[in-house]
Amino acid sequence: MNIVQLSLFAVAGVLLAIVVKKERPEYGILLSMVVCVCIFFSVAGRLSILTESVNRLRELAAMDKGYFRTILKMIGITYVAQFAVNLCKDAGYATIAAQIEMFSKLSILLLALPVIEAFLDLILTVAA
Amino acid sequence: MSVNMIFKIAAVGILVTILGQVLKHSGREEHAFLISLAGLVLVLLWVVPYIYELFTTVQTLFEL
Repeated sequence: MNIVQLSLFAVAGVLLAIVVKKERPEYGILLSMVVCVCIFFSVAGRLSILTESVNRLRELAAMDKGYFRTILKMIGITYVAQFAVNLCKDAGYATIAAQIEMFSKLSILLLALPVIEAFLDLILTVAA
Repeated sequence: MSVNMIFKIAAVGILVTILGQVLKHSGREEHAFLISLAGLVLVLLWVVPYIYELFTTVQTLFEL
């Protein structure tokens, strides 16, 4: 599914959502949710190819697998959180969106902690 | 699969609106509300497994 089909699909979804949203706002949100899910599924295949090739590059550079996995987790958390946040904002519930955003930032920070510790240990060993 | 899901949901939305208007004008207010509720439940039945599938794919893809 190339970019032209994708954008046509999205525009069709938006137009339908506008038509339905006037009388029944809940269908507009459901429609936009389904459009997002369809777009993700059409792109998901390429994402796995991306992760495999980056993995191969990582093996060439003999980098530790843990770091790459944390980066991948961060991307996953950001994607899911942004999906929920923007849906809540579309529906008009900015406070709930802010809560989700806050929690996603905290969980990413939590993920980053071990990396920071490893970095500090490295500095200490070099400096001391 | 993906495109006709969009049209199905839009069709249910429009149908529920029309039925609601007809029922409202014929005086049966509570039926109109029940119809819109039924339409919403139907669409939710279609959408929720779809969303669940999305989140499981994301989990496996990003190793969450």
